[in-house]
Amino acid sequence: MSAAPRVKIPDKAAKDEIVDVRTFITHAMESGLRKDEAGQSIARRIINRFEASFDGRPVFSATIEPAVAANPFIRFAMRATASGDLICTWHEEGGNSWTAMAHLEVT
Amino acid sequence: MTALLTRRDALAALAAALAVPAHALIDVDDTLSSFTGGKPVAEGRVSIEMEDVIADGFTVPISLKAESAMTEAEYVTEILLLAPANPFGKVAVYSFTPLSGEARVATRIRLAGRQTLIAIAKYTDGTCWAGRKSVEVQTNGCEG
Repeated sequence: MSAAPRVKIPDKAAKDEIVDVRTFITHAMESGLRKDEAGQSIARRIINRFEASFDGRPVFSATIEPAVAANPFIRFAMRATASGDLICTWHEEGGNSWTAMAHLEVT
Repeated sequence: MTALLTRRDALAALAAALAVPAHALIDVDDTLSSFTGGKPVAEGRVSIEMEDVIADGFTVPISLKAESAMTEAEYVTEILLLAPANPFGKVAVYSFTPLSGEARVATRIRLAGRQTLIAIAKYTDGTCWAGRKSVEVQTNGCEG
């Protein structure tokens, strides 16, 4: 149903450089509005929350609705302040969550 | 020239006729006022970048940006994205910090039909700014 949470940033950056963060997870983002071939409603099942923090400090987060397309791709910016780990977490309505991590070296 | 315009107008009319739901499942005005806390919203500072004419409403690339230096003293705290003609008018709320460096986000969304999207940014000084973008959508991405 859901897999392959991914986060991509450059390996290295200069101090105070703005780096691009690209994140992706495989997920149907089932809106609850669709019907199957028998005409039955397909149950809602979505990722509704995404959070990114760098060494414990919040960088970016999103509260998302069924209007976000399947396999959510989210790209945002981060200021490179020091070397450390960027941790991204995707939360599904109902309690499941997935995490991905990337390391940034500030030179 | 004439033929091209005629075809485009016909497509737009068709999209509008097919796609806009009779009523949204949430009230966009309520969502907006609870986001702003009832503060006035000025036009500007916020941009929405996407195609003008969208063939596939299921996966629509969109980029939002709000102008700010993103310093501790002044930054964009949140951007609300609304697609008023969608079944749920609300798309997402994005939250930023000075560590974001820039108040921008790119993603892919679903759109039901022809409409004007609105992105509203909230700043630490208490002001709210909005950007808009009108699009035509040829395939409803919220059904089927």
